[in-house]
This record gives sequence, C-alpha cells and structure tokens, in this order.
Amino acid sequence: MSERFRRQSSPTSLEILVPGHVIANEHGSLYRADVVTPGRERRGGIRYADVLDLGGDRIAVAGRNPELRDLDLGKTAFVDTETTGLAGGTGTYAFLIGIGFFDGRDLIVRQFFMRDQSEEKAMMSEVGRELREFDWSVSFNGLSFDLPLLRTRFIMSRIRPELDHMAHFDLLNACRRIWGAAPFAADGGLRLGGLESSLLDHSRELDVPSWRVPEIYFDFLRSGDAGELAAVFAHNVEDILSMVSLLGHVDHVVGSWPDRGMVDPHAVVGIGRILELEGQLERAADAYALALSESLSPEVAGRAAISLSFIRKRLADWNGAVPIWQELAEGEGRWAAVSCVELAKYFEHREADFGRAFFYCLGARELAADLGFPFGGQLSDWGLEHRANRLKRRMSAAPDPETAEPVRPGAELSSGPLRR
Amino acid sequence: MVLNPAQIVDRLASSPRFADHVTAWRVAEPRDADYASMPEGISSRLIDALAGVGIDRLYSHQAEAVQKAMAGEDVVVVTGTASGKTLCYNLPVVQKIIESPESRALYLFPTKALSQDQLDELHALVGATDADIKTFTYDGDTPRQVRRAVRRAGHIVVTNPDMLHTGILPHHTNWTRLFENLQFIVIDELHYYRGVFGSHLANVIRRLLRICEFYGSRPTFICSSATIANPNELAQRLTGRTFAVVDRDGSPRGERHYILYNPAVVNRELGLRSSAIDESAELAGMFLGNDLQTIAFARSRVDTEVLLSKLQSNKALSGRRISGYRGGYLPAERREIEESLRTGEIRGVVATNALELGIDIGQLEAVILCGYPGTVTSTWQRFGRAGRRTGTSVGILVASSSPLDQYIVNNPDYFFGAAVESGLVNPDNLYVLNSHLKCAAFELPFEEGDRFGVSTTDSMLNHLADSGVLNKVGNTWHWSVADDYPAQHVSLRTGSVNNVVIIDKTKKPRVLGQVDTFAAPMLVHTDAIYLHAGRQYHVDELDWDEKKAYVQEVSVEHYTDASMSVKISVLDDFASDDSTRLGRGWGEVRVTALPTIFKKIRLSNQDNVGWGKIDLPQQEMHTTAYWITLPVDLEARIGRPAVEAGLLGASHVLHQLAPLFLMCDPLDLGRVTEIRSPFTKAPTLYLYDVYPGGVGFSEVLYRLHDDLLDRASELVSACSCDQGCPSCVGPPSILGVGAKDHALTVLRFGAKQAQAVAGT
Repeated sequence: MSERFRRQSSPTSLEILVPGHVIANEHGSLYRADVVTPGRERRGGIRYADVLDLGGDRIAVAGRNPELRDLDLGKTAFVDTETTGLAGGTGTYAFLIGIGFFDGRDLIVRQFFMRDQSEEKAMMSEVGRELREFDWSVSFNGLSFDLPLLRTRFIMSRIRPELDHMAHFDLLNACRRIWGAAPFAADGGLRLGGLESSLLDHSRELDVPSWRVPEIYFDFLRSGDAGELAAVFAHNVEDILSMVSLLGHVDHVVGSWPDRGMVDPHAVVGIGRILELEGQLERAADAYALALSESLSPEVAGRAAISLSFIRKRLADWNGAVPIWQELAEGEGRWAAVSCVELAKYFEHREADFGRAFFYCLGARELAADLGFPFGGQLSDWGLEHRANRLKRRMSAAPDPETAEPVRPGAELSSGPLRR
Repeated sequence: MVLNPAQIVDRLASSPRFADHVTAWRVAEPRDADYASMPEGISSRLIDALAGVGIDRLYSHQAEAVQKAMAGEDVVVVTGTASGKTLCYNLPVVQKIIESPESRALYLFPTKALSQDQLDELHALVGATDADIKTFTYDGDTPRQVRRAVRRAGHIVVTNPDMLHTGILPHHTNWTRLFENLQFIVIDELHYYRGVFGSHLANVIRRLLRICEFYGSRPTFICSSATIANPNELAQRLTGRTFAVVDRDGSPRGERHYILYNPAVVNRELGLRSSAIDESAELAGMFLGNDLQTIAFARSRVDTEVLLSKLQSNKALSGRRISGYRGGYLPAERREIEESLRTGEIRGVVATNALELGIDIGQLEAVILCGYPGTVTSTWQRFGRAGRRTGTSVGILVASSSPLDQYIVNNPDYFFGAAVESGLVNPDNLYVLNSHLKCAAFELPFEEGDRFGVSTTDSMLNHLADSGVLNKVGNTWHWSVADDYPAQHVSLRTGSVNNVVIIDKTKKPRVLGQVDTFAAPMLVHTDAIYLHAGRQYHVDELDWDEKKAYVQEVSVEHYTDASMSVKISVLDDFASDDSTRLGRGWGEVRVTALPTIFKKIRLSNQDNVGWGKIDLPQQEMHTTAYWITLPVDLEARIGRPAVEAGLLGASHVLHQLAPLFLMCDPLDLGRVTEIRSPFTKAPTLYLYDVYPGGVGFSEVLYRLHDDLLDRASELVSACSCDQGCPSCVGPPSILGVGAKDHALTVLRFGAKQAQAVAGT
C-alpha cells in the first residue's frame, strides 16, 4: 500500500507520464492506456484510414496464406509486445502488450501493462478478452516471437490462450520474402526501423533502443520511476503505427508491381519468387522478366535470370530459356556453371548435338573447378564426368549430328517436343 | 585342442602358478529361471504382442515390478546384467498408453548412445502391439522440424538429463500435453547418477516435479539400477519419493566363477609385484587362444592401449579380431565395435569404463579386470559382462600394487560380502542447489512456503532477490533478469564442458578423437605420446586457446606420464574439530593445478628414459576439502624429514583407500600435503573433491575420520613390505627410508591401543 502511495506522489509516476487507467478484473488489477491516432494522419505516404479499406487478396499472396483473402481490417488486431528479453523460455515476461485496431476511421493502440509481475494474470485475462473480439492478427515477427510468448504467458497465468481463432499475418516474414534481395536488406535493413526508413521514409526521434527495454522495466520495478518507461510505451505505439503503414505498403507493392517503374525491381524479384512458389508460373515469369529489364544488382540479376530460365524450361519454352543460358554461360561463377550444365543437357537431349553438348560440359567442369565443387549437390564432379564420358561415346557413335536419330529424352527432361 | 570354459576353470585350479596367487575363488551356482504369471491388467493385445517378440511369460522380478508400477508405486529394479530390466518399465508404460492413449511417459538415459540401444527393444514391442504409440528421441540431434511433432504427439519421449535441463523444462509451456498427462518417469541406469552428476539430476527432478504439479500430474517413477548398497536411498535422494525395491532376480544363469588374483611379489623389499597388465595379457591370451569371447577392462586409456598392443602382438592369437574401446574413439567407431561384438566377429575387446554402462554387446564368456575398477559396484557390473544363460563363465580380478587393490584382494569378505558401496549424491550442495533454484524460478515463480528440496528455500530465495536475480512481489518471487536463460550457465557434468579435439596430421588432417579439458594437460601436452586404437601418436602441438592438439603417428618404445603441481588454500572452514585423535576439518578451498613436467617411460620395463617440461596455463577450481592436521610440535619431536615422509605416506594410503567409502574413483579425489599450512598453522594433509563446489565426498570423509585412520593403519601394518611400497604408503624411492614407520606414526597418532603397539 505504502509503495503504491509513494509511486503516485512521485513526479515521475506512471499515471502522469502515460495517461491511462488502473482497471480491475477478477484476477486483480493492471494498467491500461489508449492512444488514439486520427485516421487522416499518414506515414510513408499512406493514410491510416485507407488501410482500413484494404481487401485481403494481396496480403494473402504476401503471406502465402489463403485464409487471409477475407481479411477485414475492421476486425484485425495489430499485436506487439515489450518483453524482459529475447532469450525465450518461461522466464521471459511480456510486460507491455499493445493491441492496435481501427475504431471507426481512427486507429487506437490499446496498451496493457503489468505494474509488477503479480499483475500478469489480470493483464493476460484482459488481453485475452480483447483478442477474442478479432478475427485476424498482424505482427512483426510474431510467428517466431510474440505469439509463442503470449501463448506461454497465457499458460503460465492459467488462462486459455486466445490466439488460435485468428488467422495471422507476419509482416517480417512477408517483408523478407519481398525485399530480401533488396540492397537495403543487408545489415539489419529488414528490422522494423530499417524498413521504416527504407520504405516509409520515416525516422523516429528519441526512440528507445530495443535492447534497453528489459533493463528499463526492471529499473521501474525497483525504483517505481516511470521516466524511461514512458518512452517504452511510446516505442510500442510507434511500432504498431509502422506495422499498419507497412501493411498498406505491402498491399500496394503486391498490387502494383506489373506497372513498370512503380516498384523497386528487387521487390519484384521477391514477388516473382512468391508467385513461383505458389505455382503461378506465367505470372512469376512476367515478374522476373520485368525486374530483369530494370536495374538489378548483379547477384540478384543472375538469380532472377536463372529462375526465369527454369520456369521457361518447366513450361517447355526452349526459345525463351536457351538464350538466357547462353548469355549467362558467357560470364563466370555459379550461374554460368549452372547454365553450361543446362545447355549440355539441352544440346544432348533436345538437339542431339553431342559436340556442342560436350563443349558446354567441359565448360561447366572448368567453371565448377573454379567454384570449389560441389555446391548444393546440384552439380557433382561425378555427374559432369559421367556426362562427358557418355557424350564422348555418343560423338563417336554418331559423328554427324545432321544424320543422327534423335535420342530419347534423358531423365532430366520429361516433357516437350524432341526437336523443334 | 580348444578347451571349453569349464575345462579352463579346471586347468586354472590345478595350475600352481595361477592357483597359488588366488586370494579368493567363489562360484555362483547355476540358477533356473523363476517365472511368474502375467500380472493382472495386462491387456490381451499386449500379451499377444509379447508372444510375437518371443516372450510368453515373465521372470518373477519383471512381474513384481510391472505389478507395482501399474498400481502406482514408485519402483526401483535392482537385478543383474541381462536380466530383462527394460521390460519392467516398457510393459506398464505401453499398457497404460493402450488403455488411455493420451497418456505420456518420459524416459531418461544418462547418455545419448545408450538411449538408442534401449529404444530398439521398445520399438519392437510397440510394433508388435500394432498400437499407435509414438516414441521419439528428443536430444541435441533432433532436427528442428521434428521437434514440434515430438512435443505434440510423442507418447514416449526419450531424452537425457542435459536436454531435459536446458531444452525441455525451461520451455515447459511447449510441452503441455506431456506434462498434463505424464504417467511414468523412467530412469534407467540409476547408479550412474552419483557424485556431481547425481546431485545435479536430483535438482533437475525437483524442477520436473514442480512443473508436473503445475500441470496437475503426478507421475510414477520406474528406475533400474545395477547392484548398489542403497538403491532405495539413492532413488529417494534423486526423486524425493519412497520406493519399492525389486531385487529378487528371476532370470536364469549359468555357473559363474569369480576369482581374485594377486600377482606374485617379485621384489619384496620394494613391494613390487608382477605387472597386472602382463598378467592380464597372459590370462586374456589364454582365454582368447581357446576361442572364448573375452573382455578385458583396464583402468586408464594408457593401460587399455598397452594391454591391447600386447594382445595384438601375441602371435598365438593372430587371425582373431581384438579391438580397443574407450572414450576417445569416435561414435561411429564405437557402434561398429559394439555390433561386431554382438555378432561375435570381434573375439576380444580391451575397454575402459566407457563400456561399463548398459551398452549392448551381448554376453561374453570371460572377463579380466586389469586392476580393481575402484568400486565394488562397477566390479560386479564389469563381471556381469560375462555370463550366458547356460554354460560356465569366468571373471578374474587381477590386482595391481595400489593400496585399494591390495585391500580388496586381501579382504575378500569385504568384496564378496554385502558391502557394495552407496551411491552418494548431495542434492543440497549449495552450489548445485542454488544454480537449479534459479532455473526453477525461471520456470515457475516461487511462493512463500514453497519448498525446493531444503527447508531454507525461502531464505535462499530472499538472497537471490537481494542480489537482483528475483523480484519479490507480495508473497511471490519472480525471475527478473533481463535477457537471461539460467539453464545455459549450468552444466550437469562439470569438468567436461569443453573438449580438446585431437587432429591427426599424419596424412590428410582428420579428427582422431577428443579429450576433456581437464584431462588434456596430462594427456595431450606438446611432446606427449598419445595412444589411440593401439597406435602411437606424437603430439606436435597443443593449441590451448583453440583447444586443438595436432598429432602425428609415430612408432616409439616409450609412453609419457605427466605430473601436476597442486596448491591449495582454505577459503572457509565449515567444521573443524581438535578433539579427535588428529585434528580434522572440512571446508571450502581453492585448488590450483599447474602441469609441470612429463616423464618418458619405456614400454617394456617401465624405466624412466627421459623427461620434458610442459608449458601450459594453471587451472583453478573452488571446491570442498577434508583435512587432517598433525600436532604443531611434532616436528620438534621427530624431525622435519620424518614429518614430511609421514605426511606423504599417510596421504598416499588415505587417498587410495577413501574411495572404498565413497563409491567414487580415486581420480575424483585430489590430495595435497603441507608441512606447515598457512591456514591451520600445522602439518596438514588434504583430500579434496575434484569438482567445483564439491560433491559431498569431503563431508563424508570428515564424518568417517576415525574409521578412515583405522583402516589406513591396518592396511599399512599388514603390508608385507619393509620400507613402504606402492601398495601402502608409496615407494621408498620417493619417500625415503623409514617412511612406512613415519606414516604409521601419523596414522596412529593419539589412538589409544595403537600407541601401545607403536611403543613396543
């Protein structure tokens, strides 16, 4: 009692720095603060209220989860936790849980806070009650961090985990897929702060670095001084506002990549990869081709070209695939080696041109030796050796490619015409 | 002509060269199987499945254990090697899961290698029932993708204490299915959990049971153990439960001979006996020559390799595959050896205690122990490697000159009597307890009045709160360290956290094996000769910072033996007492060890043929020690050299004899003498636990003070040597003339009747 009294009278007390209320339920009390952001405000050129109107089609693509197609932002919770550490395990607490949602056209961030660990059960109960209202949830890295942590805290509090009724969209995973190849992604560029500055053109003033958050909470527990803690509350609100904007940005990028020049070509490569994984081969090929016609870093360009060539190979579009390999084979490194192997296969099985096949096979061997084989098991020394020997035999058996009978397709090729 | 085991036994008995040096020869009569009817409650489905794997009735001990476990009694099964112990726990577990498929069981094996072996049997049984029972191994090797399935769907989760400690308990919320429905906890090889490992395990079990309580389950324990004096007490200390002991072995066995053999004295003055290695090689050679599958156990890596090379170079055995087996071998190498032993392709194996655990190599026909293994329990376990269900088998203990060996072979009643040692654990070791208390608080908050093993739990928690590790709110303590995971700081097997990797550069560099960091300065210092699989390697360089030793294969006529300079300082005395006949004390100490020199010793005759320096950093450890102080004025009365020799001699015999009471290896204890201790201000002899924080050895020795001194003086005065020998106080070449008398003076000091003897 006296402790609470001291806290309240202190000039740096929580209630003064973070306007909110103590609320009580059957498990005790906790602190709750609502921060309202008008829907007309924007971040990264995106008006919050516009995010409310988004449909789920594009988010479902970015999240590779068809359940998200019906996404209704009016029933979506943006979840972000502030914790006592990243080490994981049952001794890591989520002391501040922020839930962002739309109320009318405005955005509310509702923050649940335990003023000490004895309030955890009351807090989790309140969080559970809140989450029950939503059908979807959005997080940044929630799949591997926030959600398992919340589940643990529910269990530790003996409260039913209110998580599984919501389909989930993890922004970090989606951004990794889309922007993983972008130059800014290196060196932590995919952290929320990095994405804010690269994609949303937003930078935070006076932000608390994440690594200090646990210590600030423990300092507050010891001293009751909420001075620094207020900055953690603000940090949590900032995170959620950025998540809302980022969601809008993802939707925009997935929707407008086909319009040349609208989207960073590296992100178009990322989207191409998603489409490829989803089996939308034609659209994926379009994305790669579009990205390749713009300015890409050499490594990403190589990878995109190879991906495009393999899609075309799967579609039996040899006229599309072969020129890519021929161009790459002129270069050096891994993609050149892969291309030589593909050309060797192509000329052996499609054209029955064993001489050229042999030529590319030797080229592959040379490039492979430079690379320090084997990489990825895809091209083993043995495979090339074996192929070269077979080609030698075939060359002597059929010295004139013009008169040679077409050979049956090898194991590598199972479809398509034998010869054009 | 090839003799069968029974004929060999006859021949040994009638050979004076052998029989004259036998100090005891006991025969265990063959025994028929004692069967019992299938306990009630075993479903017909399971009975059919058992028949399917060739089991149509149970041995009496199996039936008894199964019955008790099914009734919810905590059981510890203590029966011989190959008596079918695994069925004692597999049966109730599988039955329970068939009855109620949500049931779960947790199996704990001390090592990964062992769990694999025991699982094969379980899989066969489960397969035969055709029930949907999922058994998973969860350890460091379990792939990430599989882990989720194990946590959700595994009926039987097989793991080891280390994984339970760092991987499962701190993440118990991922294992709610397991903990809510945990019916059985199986602890196999219970006797393995003694000393420091056992003390840790006891605390891991405390944490486990706290978590079970949180989820509302109360599992039954089923433990199995080799023969020890106190299976009930050990199980109770490890789990906090009271156990029913099942120890009437119903399995059949053939005739077994147990022989204690003391090699002839070849130099009475020096007390030198014929080498135990030579004698063992000869005996093993005879068994192998008659095509008996034979295992020889040596006490150290070096002895293993020397014995192996003697057997491999024995021309009479050419064409028979004889292999080594010890800790430094790589896992794949070991698996191959185990398999070849089972199939009989390998006829002979020379092993260290690495083979002591229940690793399945089948039953052999002859066991030779080259030197006393250190404890009665492990001696019986090793003897247990021989003995098929029918036919004769032989176990021979060949004594070395060490005092403990000599005590055992000269006091056969001690060995054959009921006096197997107790498994000692000290779950309340402050160092161990406190580190697990932190882990426990991380896992679940503590409330006032909660008890974690000791009655002082509250005050320990308050102490942790004072140091900022916990935060007390109301009557509850919560973990409150930022970004920490306490289990990762606690190793259950202190002393072997980091290994030194041995790299063979003879041809293309390859990893030859590894040794633990503590042993590395002695075994793989630069210029050491390291022995592996019967080959010699010269250590070109030991890179201490990188923990790598680079070796090349060589062929030389010597091996190396390293010495350490050890210093001790007392930090705190927990107890001391001057009223006993010599002063005694027990407390916390700091031990520093510095490897100094190594000697080159010729293989053929053990001659010292050179030496070199070892340049490695000093190692430091905090532990507990027991010490004995001599009167300050003793030096004035008998002279300084006599006090020095007496101290050294007494410490030699005490150090060797103490394991008799502790179920530990002499290597688990260290010894130091000081002519004038800065702490006690008197001549002092220390025996310390070679484990950080101590395991409780020194406390027990402190209590046994008088008994220990009596046994030591008995052993020394009964020794047949003149001036001291390796079998009592140590060789006179080191201690000087008269050392035996001086040591006796020390050991008998203040003893009433003994003084009268000394005065004559």
